[in-house]
Amino acid sequence: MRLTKYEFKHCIGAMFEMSTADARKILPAHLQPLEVQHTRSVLAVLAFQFTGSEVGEYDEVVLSVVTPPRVEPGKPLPQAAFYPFMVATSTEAAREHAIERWALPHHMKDLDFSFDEADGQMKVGVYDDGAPVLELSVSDHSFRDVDYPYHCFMMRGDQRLKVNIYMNAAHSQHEEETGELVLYSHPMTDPLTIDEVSSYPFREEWYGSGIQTFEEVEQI
Amino acid sequence: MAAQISNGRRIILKWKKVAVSETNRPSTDNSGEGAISDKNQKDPVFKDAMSYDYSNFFSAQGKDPFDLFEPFGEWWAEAKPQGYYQFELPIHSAPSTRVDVEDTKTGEIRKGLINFASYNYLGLSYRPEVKEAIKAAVDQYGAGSSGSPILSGNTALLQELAQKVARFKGKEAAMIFPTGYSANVGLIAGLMRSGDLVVADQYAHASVVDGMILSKAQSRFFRHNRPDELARKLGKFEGKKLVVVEGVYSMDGDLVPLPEIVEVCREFGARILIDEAHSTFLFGKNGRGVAEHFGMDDDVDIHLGTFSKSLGGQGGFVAGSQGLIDYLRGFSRSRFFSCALAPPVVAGLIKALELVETEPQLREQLWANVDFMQQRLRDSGVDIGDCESQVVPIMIRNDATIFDIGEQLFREGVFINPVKYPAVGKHKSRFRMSISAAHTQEDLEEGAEIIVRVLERNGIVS
Repeated sequence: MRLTKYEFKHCIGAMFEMSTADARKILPAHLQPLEVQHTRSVLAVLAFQFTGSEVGEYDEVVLSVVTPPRVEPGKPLPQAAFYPFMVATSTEAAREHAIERWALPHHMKDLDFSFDEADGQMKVGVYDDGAPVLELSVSDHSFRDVDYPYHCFMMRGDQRLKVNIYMNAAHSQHEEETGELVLYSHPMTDPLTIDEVSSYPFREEWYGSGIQTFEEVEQI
Repeated sequence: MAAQISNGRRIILKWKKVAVSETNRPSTDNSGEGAISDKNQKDPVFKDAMSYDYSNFFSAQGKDPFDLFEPFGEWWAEAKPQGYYQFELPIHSAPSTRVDVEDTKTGEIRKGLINFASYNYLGLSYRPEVKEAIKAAVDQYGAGSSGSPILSGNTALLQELAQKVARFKGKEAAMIFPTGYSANVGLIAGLMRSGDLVVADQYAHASVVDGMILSKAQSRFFRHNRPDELARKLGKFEGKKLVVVEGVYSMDGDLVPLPEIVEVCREFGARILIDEAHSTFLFGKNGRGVAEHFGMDDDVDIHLGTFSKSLGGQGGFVAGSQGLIDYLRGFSRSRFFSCALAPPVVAGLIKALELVETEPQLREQLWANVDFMQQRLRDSGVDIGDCESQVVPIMIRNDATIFDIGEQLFREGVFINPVKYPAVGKHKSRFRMSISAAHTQEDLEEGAEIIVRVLERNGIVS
């Protein structure tokens, strides 16, 4: 099996409550949203600072709806599963690569990113010609080395796709509700009713320097 | 572990605990070219069982509902002996301040453990007067009520209990439910309709959430104890609105900021329900609950509580206007499709309620015990959060160690419930301590000494 690896300096993630009605509109028919609470689904926001890949260094932000993983006997048990509905990167090469190989839907324009770390907190800003698209902050907890499997679902036309992703890095997560998300009106956030997205994460995750490994895409 | 070789790659077919180490991580390709690697294939690495939890097994692939079982079973076989066995331990004695508990890991029965796990806040479940009342009811009524309360299950005892609860709460009427859970479900689903709005504190009990789901009303949750967030959730909604809060929150032991919440409800024209499962019979001058504590008994539209905690029995109630209770009689499905409370249980509750009313010193003793234990733990550097009640969270904040510490506490003489994700947030793991009026000074001091000693040994306090 061919593996694709991406080295990253930081991966910052957080999960927010969103409207299940929005989640259902975003998801293809074969996927269901995972509800954290009745009528409240999960928006995952991930920001990467990639330092090594086939397409060089770049930054990336991924907006996903969290879904149940495909839990099967004898298969690696994923920590979570995602359906990315909007990805943005800082380079055209990274964008084309991810569309071609992973069928990930992208905002078709280079965006600017800032990663500011201080006092156990990381603030990520995403900008479109200087205008803010989103601002995300998370705080750390105790770090431990992990190699977590995840499922990522995609669509290419009518094809239902899945890829197994492994995150290998020092990892911290907590639910202290210390982070924050500010979403701005922008084509990236159009699928969301912004007022329905909670402004604080119920879960914050932080991967230190590490490797993201993709297995091959499979049709499901 | 069964394995096979396929295309040069080992496929692990069964769950296997594999420690994460340098040797089984995928290597970092620092060549700068081609992060694609055929030669550097990685084995799937399973985390140890304790890095997963119930939430990972909510769904599974397949067309048979029983397909859920195998992945869960593989995990459970590893996870249970590593810590989950600490739930559902069989008790071999009354839930008094010292309790005999079966250690299902070793097969022993651990006798005389200091009990900080039971809800028996006033120590009433085993009071001789309560037991005598129960015995008398068994003689008169037998074991069960043998019917729904709207049919043949409405014993004179049940009616008496409803009247006495209403009088105790200072309300026109009350309705008895078989459990506190069914009280919330039956009330909310019985009152709210599709097109209405129910807004609950994010830490509201599962029974509140399930009532919201069954009601088919729009559901929203506001950030814990934040009246400003409640106002935002109520927003410009024009229809019928119900706000649900709890008197004492069961995992953190903190109180609802009721005056501010009531103010928001008034501003937005919402009715308010207070679930006083952990506060009725304890708070306020007469023990009516947190609403009385804040002097706001009449500012709350619906009062709900349980009998399983402070009264040491079983069941739940709703108290409010006569109109509310009359209406619920026809629409509260969890009540009228359940068998009524068993007469012996009801008799015990009536006697326990009488003791609450005639022995205010029970509440005084409880609050003295709570003050002592909170101070004792805080003085020893134990993090007990912002608790203001007899529910005292002992914060560990580390999901990886909570069960290990729990086992040490259990083996050294303390019976206390570990709580971890998903019952609370990730790394908000804690032990939930329940203080009772029945605890003696010796119980409290010995228990605190063991807890502090174990937490120090594990680096939780220094």
